[in-house]
Amino acid sequence: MKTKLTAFVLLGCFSCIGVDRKDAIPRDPVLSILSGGKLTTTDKSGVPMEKGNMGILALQVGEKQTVSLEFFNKFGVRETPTVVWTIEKPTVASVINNEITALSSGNTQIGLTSGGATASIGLTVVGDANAIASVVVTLPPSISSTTLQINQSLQLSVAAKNINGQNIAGKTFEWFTENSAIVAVSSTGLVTAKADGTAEVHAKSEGVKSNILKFNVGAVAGVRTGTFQSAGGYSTVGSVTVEESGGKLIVKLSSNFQASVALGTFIYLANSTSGGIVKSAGLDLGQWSPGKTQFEAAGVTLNQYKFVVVLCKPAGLTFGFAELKP
Amino acid sequence: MKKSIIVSLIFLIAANALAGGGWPQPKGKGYFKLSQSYLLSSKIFDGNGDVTDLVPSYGYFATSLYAEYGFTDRLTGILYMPFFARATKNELQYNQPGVPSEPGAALNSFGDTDIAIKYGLLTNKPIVVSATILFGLPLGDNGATNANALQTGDGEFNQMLRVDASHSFYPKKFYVSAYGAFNNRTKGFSDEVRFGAEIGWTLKKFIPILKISTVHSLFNGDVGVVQNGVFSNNIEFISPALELNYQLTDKVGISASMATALAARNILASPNFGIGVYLKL
Repeated sequence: MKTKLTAFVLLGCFSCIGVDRKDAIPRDPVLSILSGGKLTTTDKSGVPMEKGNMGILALQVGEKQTVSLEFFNKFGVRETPTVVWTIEKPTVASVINNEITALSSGNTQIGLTSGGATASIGLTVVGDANAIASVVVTLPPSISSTTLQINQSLQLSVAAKNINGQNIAGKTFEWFTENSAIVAVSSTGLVTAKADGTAEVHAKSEGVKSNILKFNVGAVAGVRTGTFQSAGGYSTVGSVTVEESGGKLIVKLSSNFQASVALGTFIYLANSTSGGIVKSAGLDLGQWSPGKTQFEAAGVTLNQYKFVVVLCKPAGLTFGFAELKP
Repeated sequence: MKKSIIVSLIFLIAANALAGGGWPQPKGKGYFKLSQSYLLSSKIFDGNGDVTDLVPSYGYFATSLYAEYGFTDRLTGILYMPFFARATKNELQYNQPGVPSEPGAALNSFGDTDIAIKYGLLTNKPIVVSATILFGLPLGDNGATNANALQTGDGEFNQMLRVDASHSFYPKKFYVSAYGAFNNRTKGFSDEVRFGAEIGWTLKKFIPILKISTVHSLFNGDVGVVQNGVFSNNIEFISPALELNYQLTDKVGISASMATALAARNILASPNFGIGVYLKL
């Protein structure tokens, strides 16, 4: 009896699910500003979000606004951030214990740094309720996408608002483009796509900067495509399209997509096809299984990665990849 | 996937000086072995034959019955049946505090089973020769429905024709055997050619056996095979094995074995261990 029991215990131990330990793959730390009070946030492209790395704030002199933050370290672990604040114009505002105090009229950028991550707040301080507190640029009501074909034009709207969010009539605006070779903007806010690429457009009135609209221009505007090729003696067939939508990157595999199923087959965005580099530096979109055709990623831009890679994650083996074009 | 090599190795290990080789079992005689195999690997041979890390580790464990029984002096029935097969994936924990761990997983099922008939072509010659037709029954779980691709079978029905030749140096107490085989695989898997050899000694109650086995893929399968795992197709290896048997009585003995791969493609890169108890009729 004792011998049998020992044998069963040994067999059980042999076949237990064990534990492996390793270092987590470091990523870029993320510092996000959370919306609250008069503070609204946008992501890098200007798309409004509940939390983002860019804040827009308008206050009256003497008003205060507490800023709530969320920080994920380089291993993706949420931590209470220790923030270093920098104020472009210290006469306009001050910050103590994450609380911004409006000191005098003007505009200033407030920078935040924590653990290698950065964020910023655009602050406008007004002296009275009729001054411009914010400038808001919007797309035409019938348009929801900032993707354009070459030579396509779009008339933007702009409004100046007071501290209470009411429109102020009779103001003049200046328009700015980050790269006029890609997207040009006229003095009336008419944008025209000129060449493949991305460019940001914003407006200003009386020194108050608007929200930013980021435009994508391409052969198929806002969409990149690729055809998979097999790698390393493994099998991957099909194609992929990648597009931005609703502030997210949507990765769609074709209906005929097939790949080797192994000990964990994952889809990655990467700038290399080398399995080890993909695993360490690529963006893991999730595990693929036959029939799954769509993956999403937030906080990623359309042109940030060059390849969609099919990776056996446990072994770091590339089964196939698609180079994204244009 | 890994199942294929493991089963191959287990099958090879299961036979020993008291069974297998070119000798069929005499009529009414038999050999029965209850075995437990163990494999846990944190490395893998990739498709180019290079060893790469596998994180987390994967394991395969099988409790099996191997049996040979002589229906006539020339005709022997053979069964390899892993009646409990278990594939595992280790839990992955990170050294950095707060990083969530990735849970482990396991799949338990009946395993792929081999049934075979061996026929003695030359039985009373200095070199004995037998031919075996083997059918691999896909009774295991091919992992098509689990996200971890854990498998206890490859999902395909294969047929293997094998010829064994053996020579005993009696009265000296050692022997040599060699074999060649062709494995016809279905469902898009590449066919295989197999070769192997072994040498065994009888040192009173102690019987050590050295083996070498090879599998070569013909790479004529369907590259679009997706449901059964990349590691199940186009497997290749050169695998030495050592088996140590000890006769407890005239009929009962115990054995321990280890098989590994010197060079390989598409298989786990760790030794497979086995222990067992056998009975001779």
